[in-house]
Amino acid sequence: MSGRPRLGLRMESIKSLLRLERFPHIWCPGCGIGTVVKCYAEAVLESGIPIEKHVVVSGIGCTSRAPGYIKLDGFHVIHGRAIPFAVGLKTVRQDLEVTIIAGDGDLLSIGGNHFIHAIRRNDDINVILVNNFIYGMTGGQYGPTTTIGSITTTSPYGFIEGSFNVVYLAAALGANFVARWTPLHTKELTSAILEMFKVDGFALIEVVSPCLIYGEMNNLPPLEVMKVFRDRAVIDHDADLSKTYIDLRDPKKPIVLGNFVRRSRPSYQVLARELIKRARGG
Amino acid sequence: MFDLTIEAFNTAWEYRVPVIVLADQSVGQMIERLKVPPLDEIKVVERNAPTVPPEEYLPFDSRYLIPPMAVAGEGYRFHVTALTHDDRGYPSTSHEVSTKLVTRLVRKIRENEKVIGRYEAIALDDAELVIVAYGITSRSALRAVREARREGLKVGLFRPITAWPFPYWGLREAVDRGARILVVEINMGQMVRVVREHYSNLVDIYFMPWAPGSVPRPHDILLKVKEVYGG
Repeated sequence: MSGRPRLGLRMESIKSLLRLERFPHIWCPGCGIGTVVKCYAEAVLESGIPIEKHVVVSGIGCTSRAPGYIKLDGFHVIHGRAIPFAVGLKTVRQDLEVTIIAGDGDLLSIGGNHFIHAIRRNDDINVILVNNFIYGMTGGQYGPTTTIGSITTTSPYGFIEGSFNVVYLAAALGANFVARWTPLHTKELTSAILEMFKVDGFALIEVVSPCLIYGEMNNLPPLEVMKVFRDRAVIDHDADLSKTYIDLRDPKKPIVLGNFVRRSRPSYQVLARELIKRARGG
Repeated sequence: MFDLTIEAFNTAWEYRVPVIVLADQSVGQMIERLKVPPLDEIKVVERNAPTVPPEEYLPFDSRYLIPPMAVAGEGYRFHVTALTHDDRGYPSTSHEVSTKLVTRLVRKIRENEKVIGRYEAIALDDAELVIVAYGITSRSALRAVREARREGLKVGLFRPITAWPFPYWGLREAVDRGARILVVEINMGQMVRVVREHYSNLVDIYFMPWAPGSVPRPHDILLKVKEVYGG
């Protein structure tokens, strides 16, 4: 392992789930994605589900590189198509625990249609959506979660479009589990992922995450964002989701976190199996 | 289309390649008799599964033209990416790695093109003029062939079933006999380029483009046949 940075002590516990030969990873210092990987890996180890039954799927982008570092069956599919791939896999392989780790751009812009229809159908998949408010990998273009007024490469005078409030959207569409955490809230995030594994139906965790690229253009360096998370985070599991719009740039705006929605709408996969049985006269 | 969809799945499974089933509007709106066979009569290709233990498994082992494929949940814990990748499935932008990968991907189809490629040949044996048409256009062309034959013109039909690999070899014999080719398609010239690529230096290739929006009637094609035949 000479010439390769040593794995931090805090990563020891999840070493068996990392593809160490691929390190160092591509993420910038200060990025929140590594923490998400750690929380996911810890949850996988604690889940009680056999390791080989966990599958991790992603699209394209910084966050979507995560499966490349996780030693599970991993599918880094084409841009925006993590959800259709995961849905197909889960539909024919009920024994697998299928989790997507991908970013806001991939899941909400390029894959936006899949996102809304998978939640509408209530497909039995887990989605960890890392929201950093920007297209980081490609150089800082605005995306569907970029907040109004933000400076980006493609909005140098300030962003004027509206943006998605991810948890509000997912709840309105009928997801069975909706949560929002940050990489500062590792314990809460890990337990939310563990809970997500148990959900039959669409489960979504939005991880609001610092990004060096976004921060540089909006006076919010990653360390500053972590302070914002510490100072402005309000944990309110019963929050009115219509009032949970995030704006990191507005110092008066709280960042509302929590496990907001728990429903038990039957999943598409369960209904489909029942339908097949009925159609065959069973 | 039913049968070809089954075949598409089998081909995808056998060659580890995405197969796209292309339909056209008319095929989608047509009603024809369909025989749905019992499940156990449908031929299903077996996947070439890995035989090595997980620690030795390379999902894209370049020693094979079509490497054995593990599927999720078997304990292989393998990685697949949509980016160009090495034998382990890890992304790479190295020219060497991508050349090795892409060459293999192309080779596995090209070297099996005659196994995968499919076509239908009607009345080609003595044809002096071969109409090349696919999809709904081939139905109009078939009628035109029958009408032409009734009038004593030696016209045949070549219908490619696979677009890629393009079954060019099916035209070989007719071309060697000196038969000319008339390509008819509902666009301003797509498949005709492929036909020209293979045969333009050997025989005369005529083209009848048809602006999208309607289907050429048999009569329209017959007129063109007569024009070419006469000239």
